[in-house]
Amino acid sequence: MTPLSSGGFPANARDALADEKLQAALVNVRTIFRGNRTRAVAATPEFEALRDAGAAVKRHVVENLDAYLERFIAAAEARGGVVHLCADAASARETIAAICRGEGAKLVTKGKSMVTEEIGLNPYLESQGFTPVETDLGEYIVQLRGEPPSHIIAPACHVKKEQVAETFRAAHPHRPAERDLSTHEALLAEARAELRARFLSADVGITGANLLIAETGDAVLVTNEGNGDLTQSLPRCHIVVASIEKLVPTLEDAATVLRVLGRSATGQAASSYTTLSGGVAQPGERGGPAACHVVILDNGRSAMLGGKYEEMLRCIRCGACINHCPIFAAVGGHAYGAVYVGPMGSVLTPLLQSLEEARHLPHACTMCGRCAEVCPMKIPLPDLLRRLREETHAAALTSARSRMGLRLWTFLAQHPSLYRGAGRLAAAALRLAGRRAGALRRWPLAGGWTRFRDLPVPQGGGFVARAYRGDRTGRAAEGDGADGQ
Amino acid sequence: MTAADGRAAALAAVAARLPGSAAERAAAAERRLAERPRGPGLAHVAAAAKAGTLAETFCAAASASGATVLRTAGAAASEAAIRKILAEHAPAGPVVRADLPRFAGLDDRPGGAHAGAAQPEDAAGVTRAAAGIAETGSVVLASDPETPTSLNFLPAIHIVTLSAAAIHAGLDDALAALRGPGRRPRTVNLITGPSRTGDIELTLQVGVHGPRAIFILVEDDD
Repeated sequence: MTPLSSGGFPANARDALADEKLQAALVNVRTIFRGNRTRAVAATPEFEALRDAGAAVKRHVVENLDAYLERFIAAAEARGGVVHLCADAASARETIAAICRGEGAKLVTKGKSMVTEEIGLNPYLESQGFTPVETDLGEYIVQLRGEPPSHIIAPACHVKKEQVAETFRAAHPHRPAERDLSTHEALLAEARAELRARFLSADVGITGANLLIAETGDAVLVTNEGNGDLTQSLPRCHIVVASIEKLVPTLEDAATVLRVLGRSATGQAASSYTTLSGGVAQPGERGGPAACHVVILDNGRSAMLGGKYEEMLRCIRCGACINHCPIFAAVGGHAYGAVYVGPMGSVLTPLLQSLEEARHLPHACTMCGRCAEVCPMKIPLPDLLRRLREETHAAALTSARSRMGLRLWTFLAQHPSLYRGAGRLAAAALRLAGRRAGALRRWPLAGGWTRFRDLPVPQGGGFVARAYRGDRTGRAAEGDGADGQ
Repeated sequence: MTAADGRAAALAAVAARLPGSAAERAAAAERRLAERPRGPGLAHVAAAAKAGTLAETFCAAASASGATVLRTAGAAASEAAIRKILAEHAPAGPVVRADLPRFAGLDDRPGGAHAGAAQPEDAAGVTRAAAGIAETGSVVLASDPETPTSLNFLPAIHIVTLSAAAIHAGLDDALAALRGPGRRPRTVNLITGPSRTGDIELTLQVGVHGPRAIFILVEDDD
């Protein structure tokens, strides 16, 4: 797998727009995900109140995070678990590999976990002689294809079923070559059979966690397939990998967050499987792991505490912002060159990796605001993206041309008479150049616009002139052909 | 650096950026853990609780999630219903059951049944829910010695009995009820409908890794 690189976003985005298979696959994201959430929210009159309550829970946790981490550690260890707090990706990877080594493990099954993607766990485990197998259907598909997931809850949403069939034929050469893989059902049956054998023979199971309950020491895992449960209940050792902001105080708080999670993600009041598990199997239990480790990752998050991006630590990874983002819908997840994609990813990637490398991502946004409207945790994503844009500007990570343009605009905006004069001049020039067609095919510095559409000639007076005249209707006066500034 | 040092360093990195003193934060956390404030409940569920119709709300929500729901008059009626479901819906193969006296009668069915953890070849699992949730139509299954978690996930057909009296109104009620004296079992599964995925072209399909069908028998008290 080629390493992810968010620095290539502009080129990746151009390629993605020209990729017909990808564009066909993305239609589903725009229609199905958005429709499902809209219906679920409409059926829940309490949804707004739940958003407020959920955001309040996470705000409280973030403000008292050390106290809840200590409480979780005590509760989980009282039930026979072992908790590891890891400062960075390398220490988390090494901790997990050491546990696998201690278990004498070979085959390691994995439930879907974005945090393990973040720390690059699979390549590391392979380098240490282990065989990690992804068991979520979408993750299994992208693992076989040697790709990263393109969406945090639908990892293979960029792939059409014909491509899945090709992938399975290449990956399962022991199966009859002439078998029919033309239907969703056939693909599902083959994946079920292949992965069943892995579930049963795995030595260690690794899952993520949607929540960690401080009160009880439980990890909460939400899935629809049941793969997370087979991963965590059949092998002799279960490793949970989660980041520090996944904590919630109580069982009641867990209920509040779960109520918005499913509805926001897939439009379900509850996903098929919501599992609470803590520590090791109790005496008398038949099955269940004899060893349980919880690896809690910081990896740049504590640096966000108390700062201007702290609100991002409320994120519950539901994917609603991604599903409603016009940029994601146009280019898909791989263009971002990052583990986390869409609006939440464009905030997290610069913060968790490097602003320089991810400098394009905060600009991959139309500021339409839809992400903040649907975010169950009320994270002001466009505001956070705007702050990151300011940082890229201040650190001179934007193009010299755009910085020069901004400097010019700043100067003009601070000199109102010059601003109005320049505006008049520009409008007059546009009108003169486009007086025949009423629109322009080309205009200097406006190539990004005119390459795809005509630039209409300004009609009527400008906004400021109308404001001075007290015109609040927003319409230009009839016959107001003169500049009017 | 030892694991203990790593933990202390990581906690210190978090604490250094938080407002107030460590003692104030610990007190704030203790207060919430003691008070356990509830989030907003769902009005239609509260109304059903008041009207005494939680079982009906549960059945509607569970059906909507893709489960097949039947009401029975009690344990004996459930056993007959289970035999019928096994005959009509289960693929050929062994049946695994919860290790409870109420299911022992299934052992003499054609093909038999065995208690204990589920085996890979088991075609159907029969078990008993500790509780139900009217809000979501979920059954709550605990990994007690009598009801191993593997029964819920390995067989293709999952059959669950649930006492109507054990149906909680909300998700928060059901989770709060997990508190109690004694040690909690390791695993509690809230199960809502069959195993499903949308991972290929966002097209909904059932029966990925877990059961492709779940039958819930809601028992009125006998």
